[in-house]
Amino acid sequence: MSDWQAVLTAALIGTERAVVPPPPLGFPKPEPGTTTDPASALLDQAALLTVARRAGCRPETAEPPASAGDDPRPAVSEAAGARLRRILGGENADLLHEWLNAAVAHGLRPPPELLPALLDRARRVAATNPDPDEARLRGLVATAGGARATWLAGLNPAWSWLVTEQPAAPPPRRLTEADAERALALAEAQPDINALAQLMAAVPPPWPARLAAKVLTTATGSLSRTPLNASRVIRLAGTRADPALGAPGALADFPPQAPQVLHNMLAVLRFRYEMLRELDAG
Amino acid sequence: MAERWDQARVLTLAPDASSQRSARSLVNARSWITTGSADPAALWGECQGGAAAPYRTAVDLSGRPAYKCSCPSRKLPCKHALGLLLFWSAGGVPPGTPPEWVRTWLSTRAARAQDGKPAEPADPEAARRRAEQREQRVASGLDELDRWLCDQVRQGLAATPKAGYQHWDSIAARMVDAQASGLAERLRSLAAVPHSGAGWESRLLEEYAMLHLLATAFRRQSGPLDTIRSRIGFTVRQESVLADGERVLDRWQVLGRRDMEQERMRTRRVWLRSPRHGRYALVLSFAFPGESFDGALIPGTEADLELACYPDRLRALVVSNQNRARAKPPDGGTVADVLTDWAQALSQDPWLDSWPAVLNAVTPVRTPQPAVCDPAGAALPLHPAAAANWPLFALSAGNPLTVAGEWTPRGLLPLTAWDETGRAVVL
Repeated sequence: MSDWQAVLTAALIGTERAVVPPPPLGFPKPEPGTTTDPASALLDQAALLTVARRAGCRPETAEPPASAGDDPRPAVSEAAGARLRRILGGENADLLHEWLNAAVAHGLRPPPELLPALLDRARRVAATNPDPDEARLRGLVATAGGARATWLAGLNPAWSWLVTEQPAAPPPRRLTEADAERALALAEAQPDINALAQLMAAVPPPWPARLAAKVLTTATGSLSRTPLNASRVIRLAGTRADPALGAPGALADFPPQAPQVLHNMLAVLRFRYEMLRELDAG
Repeated sequence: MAERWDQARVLTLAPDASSQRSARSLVNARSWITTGSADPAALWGECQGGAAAPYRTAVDLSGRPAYKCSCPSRKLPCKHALGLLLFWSAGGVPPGTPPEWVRTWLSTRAARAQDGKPAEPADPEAARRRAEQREQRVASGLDELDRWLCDQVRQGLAATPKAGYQHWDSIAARMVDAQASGLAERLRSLAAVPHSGAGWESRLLEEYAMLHLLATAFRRQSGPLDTIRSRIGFTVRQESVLADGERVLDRWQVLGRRDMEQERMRTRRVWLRSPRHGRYALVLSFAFPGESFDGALIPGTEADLELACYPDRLRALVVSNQNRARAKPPDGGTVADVLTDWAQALSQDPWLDSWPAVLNAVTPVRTPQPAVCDPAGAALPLHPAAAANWPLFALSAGNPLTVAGEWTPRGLLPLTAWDETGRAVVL
């Protein structure tokens, strides 16, 4: 039994019933003739052993693991990495797909320290998710994360889906010009905001300026009567309209008295413009 | 009126965390019947407190801050003075003409200053008596604590997990009465130990033993007295650190930071190192919910800092901060170097529960336990709280990194890591 174990056992039982072990070799002995309280003597010994054990702490041994190997893709810029951190932190969280799509399209890799948060985020959605963007997320994270994400997933059972499912991201849905014309015709023929909300939810980005303007006009007009669906459509326009509309000077600010949801829509558009510019720059 | 101070600067005047909290509750127009400020640097206010008559509070910021308040609190500044300062900092105090009671106080202070007498303490004899009283109170408090510790060991620690937090709370409350607030905090934190997983018995005995050692050292007045006194709760006032503390002007690297939450207040610890002198410094700051820390010290950067050091030569206040730039990864050592450094630090202060550690070329590993290992295969286990620090593992992906953190008896808390390109990542 180690010296510490002997002292610990006595302390657990209590000096009322247990005998205080003799001081370990090299420790000061009580002066002869003095009678110390056994409890105090035990604490004296425990204090000396505590400091001795802490100061004498020996290193453990371990072997470095196999490396994940090199990722030939260049890293995203520092600004792009900082923006991904903000998105993962909850700011415009629904733009995560767009950030990842753009990074993958440019052949860039996200900052490695954010991979755990990306893997956690993707862990919470299944491939059967009814939202087509969410259903693609695991594949998107796997592709963006590359070999390093696979390496990490091997260490944490919570991410084992990456290894077992080997998800791959199909290319993102993009609105063709012909489809945009069709969508615009449908939107113009649809004054009912509830039907428009349903219709536009199925129209992938990027909405050209004319389509976005039409949708926003209808939605803004219905804001007082059906605020829920109208706000939903306005928010959707912010995340799906052509990001070039978020460029400085492209759109003027709304007057201060305009509904908050319009201000927010414009802020999202501008956020996306900056975000994609950072990823373009590489 | 002098330039408005920011909140962080006001809060540095607080004698302790609880006065910061109570002062915060006074930062609104409701609490003050009247407030005002006047040149050169006087603030005053009447605060509706517990008593029938409002408390009259005044602060003079010309020179070293001075306070006057009609409340019975012995703290300096009291919560009313601190609250008034915070209210002023938030822009709530309008300019005005000082009332009679403020003018009298200010002119007495001015007259004293001209006489060359120190404005404080007003009565050196009374101050000496108060200090003596406190020494006695602390001494008898520590005797009581030591008896309590011996009782625990006499009855045996095996039954401790059944005790509720009151078990520690009542002895902690006794330490507050004895004006040993440092011990009170420590004792309260012990309630979590029996539920901290395998090995709690050892950790609890270690804590009791080190408190016993502290009580013994204070009784005998032997050992590193500055350290002993600061751990008991004898605080050194910031203004005296600024006035009399050792000043160090150097190029300091910001190694890392660690935020902790206690009760409702958050504490930030920032570790600095001077590459030229190999010396460490620790800067503490405090923030309430909804407030952010002063972000002037960014891990991975370096700056010309003038520090005013506390007597322990580790804790410091930042007096000036200039020429910030991105820094190279810090020069560190091996696992063996960190442990040698730790043993050396313990020999100066056996009560240390953490010490900065800078490691070059270490690789995080998962097995046999989460750790970082150096090229020689020597490993430092990660603290249980850091075992799931996945960003550290992701950054490495099996490649060596430079890691700065705190070494503790329970393992390494990594705070900042530098990848192979020299980029710093806050963990």
